Amino acid sequence: MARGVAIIGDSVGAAQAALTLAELGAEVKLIMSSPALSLDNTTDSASITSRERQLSVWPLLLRAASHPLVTLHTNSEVSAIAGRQGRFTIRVATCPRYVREDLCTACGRCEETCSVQVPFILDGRRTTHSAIHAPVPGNKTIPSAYCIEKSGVAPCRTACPLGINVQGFISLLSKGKVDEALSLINESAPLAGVLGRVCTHPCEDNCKRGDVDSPVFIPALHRYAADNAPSGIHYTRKAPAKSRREKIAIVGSGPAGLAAAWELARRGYGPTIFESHAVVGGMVATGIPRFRLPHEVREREVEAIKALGVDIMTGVTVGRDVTISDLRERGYRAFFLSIGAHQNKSLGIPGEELEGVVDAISLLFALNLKVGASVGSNVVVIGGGNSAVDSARTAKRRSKGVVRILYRRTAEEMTAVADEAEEAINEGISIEYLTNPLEILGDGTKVTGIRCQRMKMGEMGADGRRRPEPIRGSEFVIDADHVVIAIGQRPNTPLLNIRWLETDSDSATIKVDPLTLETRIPGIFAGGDCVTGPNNVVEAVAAGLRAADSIDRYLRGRDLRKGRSLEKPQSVEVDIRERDAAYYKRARMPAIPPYKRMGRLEEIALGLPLEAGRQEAERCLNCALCSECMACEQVCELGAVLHQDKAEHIDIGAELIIDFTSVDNGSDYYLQGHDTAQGTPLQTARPGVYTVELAEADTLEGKLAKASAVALEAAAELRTKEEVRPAVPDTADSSDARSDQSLKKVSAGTARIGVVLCRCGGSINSVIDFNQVTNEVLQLPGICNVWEISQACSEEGANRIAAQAAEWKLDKVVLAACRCCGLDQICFSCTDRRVMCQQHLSNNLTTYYGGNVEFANIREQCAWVHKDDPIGATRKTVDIISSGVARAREASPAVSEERSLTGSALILGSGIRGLAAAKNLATQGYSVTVVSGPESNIARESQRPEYLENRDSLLKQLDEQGITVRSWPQTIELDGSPGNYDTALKDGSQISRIGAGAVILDLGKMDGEVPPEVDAISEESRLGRIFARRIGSKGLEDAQSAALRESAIRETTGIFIMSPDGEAPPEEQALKGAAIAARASAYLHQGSLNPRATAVTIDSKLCRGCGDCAAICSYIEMRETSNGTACAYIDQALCLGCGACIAHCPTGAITQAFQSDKHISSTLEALLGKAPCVVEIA
Amino acid sequence: MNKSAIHLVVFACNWDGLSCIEEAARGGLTYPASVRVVRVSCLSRVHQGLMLKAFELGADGVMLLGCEPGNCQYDIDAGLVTREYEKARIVLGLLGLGKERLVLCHIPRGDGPGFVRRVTDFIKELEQVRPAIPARA
Repeated sequence: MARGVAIIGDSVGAAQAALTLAELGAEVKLIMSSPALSLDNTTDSASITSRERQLSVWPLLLRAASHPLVTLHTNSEVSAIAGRQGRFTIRVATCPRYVREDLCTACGRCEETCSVQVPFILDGRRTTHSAIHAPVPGNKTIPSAYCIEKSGVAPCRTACPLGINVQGFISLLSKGKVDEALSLINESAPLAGVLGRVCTHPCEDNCKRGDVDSPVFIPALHRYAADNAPSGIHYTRKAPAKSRREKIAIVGSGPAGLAAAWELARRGYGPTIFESHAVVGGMVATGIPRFRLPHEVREREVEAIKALGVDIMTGVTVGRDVTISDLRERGYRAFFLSIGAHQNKSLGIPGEELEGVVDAISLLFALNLKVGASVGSNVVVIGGGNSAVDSARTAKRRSKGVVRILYRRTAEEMTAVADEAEEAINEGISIEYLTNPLEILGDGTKVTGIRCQRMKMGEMGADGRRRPEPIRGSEFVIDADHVVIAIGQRPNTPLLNIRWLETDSDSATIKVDPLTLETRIPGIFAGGDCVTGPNNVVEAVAAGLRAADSIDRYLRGRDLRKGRSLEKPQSVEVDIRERDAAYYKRARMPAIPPYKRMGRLEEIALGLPLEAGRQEAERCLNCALCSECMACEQVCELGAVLHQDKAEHIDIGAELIIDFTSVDNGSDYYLQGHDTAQGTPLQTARPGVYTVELAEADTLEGKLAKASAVALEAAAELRTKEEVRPAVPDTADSSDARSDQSLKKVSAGTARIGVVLCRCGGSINSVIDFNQVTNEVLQLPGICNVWEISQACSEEGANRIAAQAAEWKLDKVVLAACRCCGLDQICFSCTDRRVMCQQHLSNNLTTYYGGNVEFANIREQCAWVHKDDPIGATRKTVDIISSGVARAREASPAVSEERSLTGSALILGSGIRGLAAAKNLATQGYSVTVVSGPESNIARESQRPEYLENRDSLLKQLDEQGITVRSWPQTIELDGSPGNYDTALKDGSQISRIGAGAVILDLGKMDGEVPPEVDAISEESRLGRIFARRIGSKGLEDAQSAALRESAIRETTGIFIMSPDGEAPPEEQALKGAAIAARASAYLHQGSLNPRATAVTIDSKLCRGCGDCAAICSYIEMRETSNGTACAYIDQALCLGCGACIAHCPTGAITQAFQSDKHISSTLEALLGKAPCVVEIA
Repeated sequence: MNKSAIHLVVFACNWDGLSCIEEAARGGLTYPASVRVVRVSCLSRVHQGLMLKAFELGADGVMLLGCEPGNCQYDIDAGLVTREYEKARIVLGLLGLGKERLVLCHIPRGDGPGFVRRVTDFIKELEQVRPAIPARA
């Protein structure tokens, strides 16, 4: 399994090493802890500051990352290295990206829709980016695929018993997406309108915004979503068809029962609810006053649940009208008991039987649902819970007199929601704390008053609450004509009439397994108040959902417990300082003022107004960063967003390891103690592991040199074990194996052309009207077919293009997407997706490189920059595509003459660099000839003992490798053509000839303008001219700048020049020698040489021999023809493809296949709307 | 094409010139859709004939967008394009179209905002010098 080399790091050096090794035929795994290679990471050194220099590295990064032999492992932290040289196993912990690298095109639509902004610092400024964002916001990266920033689970979400994605729906509301917010809530639970009004909101209690100013008003927002969603409540939208036949009975239509029915219906069942009352909703309908929860809200929810296929039978009391056994006989297979707790507890004091003494449940039921129920003028409510407060407030609305509450503890111990108790006081209800009733007094039939006793708070009781203790002698009497007992309820379980049902003897609650809610009897589940005793709505809903899951498992015969837990997920620790939160006042719920409330039952709280709701939502701190609102997943047409992505551990096999992350990072997997000298990259104490320290002070060139040198060393190490390694998979080699769905070569003018429009996952066609483009493009001459694809840069996209091309028998295809050209060059603008597009197309279309696919960039050059002008952008798209069609029609496939490449190198000059290059090339298995000199140079170098020492040692090593070192001749003439140079060394009449594929020239350390080495090289010979060009106007460029250019437009000359470099220490010189050897090796490794597709051709019949082109470009030479006239000639392998000669050729003898004058003028015609509408007949 | 818009042709070199246009797109900038880009390998590829061809086809202005001195990927002498540019300007003057309709811009690599600024400024200047080229039949 262990093959190739693992490179750890994301620096420019790591990329250079990866590219060098891959070009030498090794498989490379590039492991980086960051999400992508970026200009930021790679150019961290102070030596490179400007954007310009950064971009110059871009082609190198892109070529390295997209090399077929390089695999990128992003977000991967190395945790351990096991094994030994030849078979290392690198254990890597990967961090999820949540976006698929193979699909994401970085179109940015997700970013636009994302509702979460994460603070970050860009160039020293505090700013924000979306939770889903480009790997390095504001910078180009490879892969360009986005990533999502997540940080655990928000505290509000962990607090919610229903697991509602609170942060998610709030973030959607902050963007004004109310429908989406409600849908998100409804993914976890139904009854949003009810819960938004009466939930006890543990979420808000946990809200971290409270640490800044005050918590987000979450229940108000919950209600806001339910009330204001334009599409209303539609549970059916995402529900599957009714697919399960099993009958399920739910006893009780309270929140638990409704929730269970809702969840079961969503899972494809059609459950039946049996309700003893005529009204549906249980305590929600009978117990909660209408001014807190209007009937319409409840009814809307019930209707929506019914619409899911839930049957509700009202007026049926299970246990009395029908028994569980009856239902079993009728085919019901599972039961959920959610009968609530409706039976009032009694005080157990004298006088409870008097007329005028009622229980809270009956009072609320009567006042809520019956017409004409009357209330006394002196009402006393006994109790401190929600039903006491609700009873008092309901009674107050009907009573002409006094309403008060007696409670035996203090305000702090009241179990009623504090806000509601406060409202009660606002409405004029007095609460007598620390007051305990001893006896209800009456006149024999009717109640007249209550004898009470004052209490004080005593010791802590068994239930964790302080116990009230009577104060002796504090008895007193309160007048009352209506007494409401609201000290709690218990479930009426005996009424169910189920044998074997285990209940608590004290509270009469049903005993269940807390995890599964199953009772002792298999198939019968119970939840809600009948299990917990009186509790709140949200817990009841949670129980309903839990029971539904259990019932589903039960009916499918699955394990009821597997994968479930009662444990709440851990919520994320949030440092609120990092969230840049400014003080912003919490919204207030508008309400009917207390004086207007009497005598009416309308809802008091009016709900947040539209703008206030959105603003309140904006107060959210987004504790978990990404809110998982799923908006990005919905907007991405490519399906690239993967919220369920998980962290994982993977093992990567490798023969050798090169680590570019700093050696001092404390990683103990190297067996400390490196024998690195002077910062040179070297073997660590652990064989097969190299570390490279790229110092901050290193120049870019220095970093690249170090990286190339270590790559070469690793390649040499691989070579010692295995003589022949597979060459780079060459696209040209495998052409025979490709399908015959290929495009054919045809003569101009008659081509059948197809046009592909890439939607780029919706980013292009969201601006451009593709229908209009299709219609207009179809009018162009020669167009057979226009079709859309969602993504051209994926394997699937390329397959579809190939299939359509075959089906329509197309000769040429114009791809309107983001790619600009079909050339094998990588410019500063290129992207990983464009390279991927080219790779997939060339794998799928045989004659891809023959100019049969033409590209039109309608993304960056149209849709993206004209998003404010869709009409203009659509118009321009048609013009851009017609220019592509015009070029495609005229394209004649470039004829590329592949030539052999001699596997040997000639090194001229004898500085330490040259000798080191020779040594390293020999190690790579190439035959090497060294021409040492000139003497003046050597003499000067030799004056310094450390040079002499190094030189001697290198010479000795060369001798051991069997390499001949020749002495410097009088003149050197280098002829032949790239790939096969033929060098003549002339000393007087003595001439010796050397053939070589690559020539390396070491210009020593001379300070003169023209190094003496060049003097010896005949200017008339080919090498002389190349030097003239290279040395040219700028002076000699640094070898590694040339290396950077190579990654943009490839190297085809095989001539490598090391410019004079002053007084560099010998170690550094040796390193540079190795680096140039790496470039030469990679060049020679190709085995054969293809000139660039951009190379010019000169038509000797048209050339009039004026020499203007040769004056511009020293690669062009004037030759004498057989009839004595002059004619320009260029070796295509030397041509860089700039095209300057074409512009200056008076006869049009010089042409370039991809940009002739004809091409450019037809492009102009099309772009200016003057495209010819008639095909020229060839 | 929109009759009232300023039709601008930008000959952009594939290297620094195109990188500015690309960065403008990545940076979320916008410019008028009547700006049309012709990508060439190097500005030295564009001779005066091609510059004038754009005017012949109805362009209101032509911008040559290339590398700053010393940045050429091919080490081409920047004087080559300058000479062609000057020659074309003379012709434009002789034709009565006005020399100012042709501009040569060398802007830094990857300078998206710079490109958008130059192109919008140029459009504003061209709006000043209208009426322009008589529409060809």
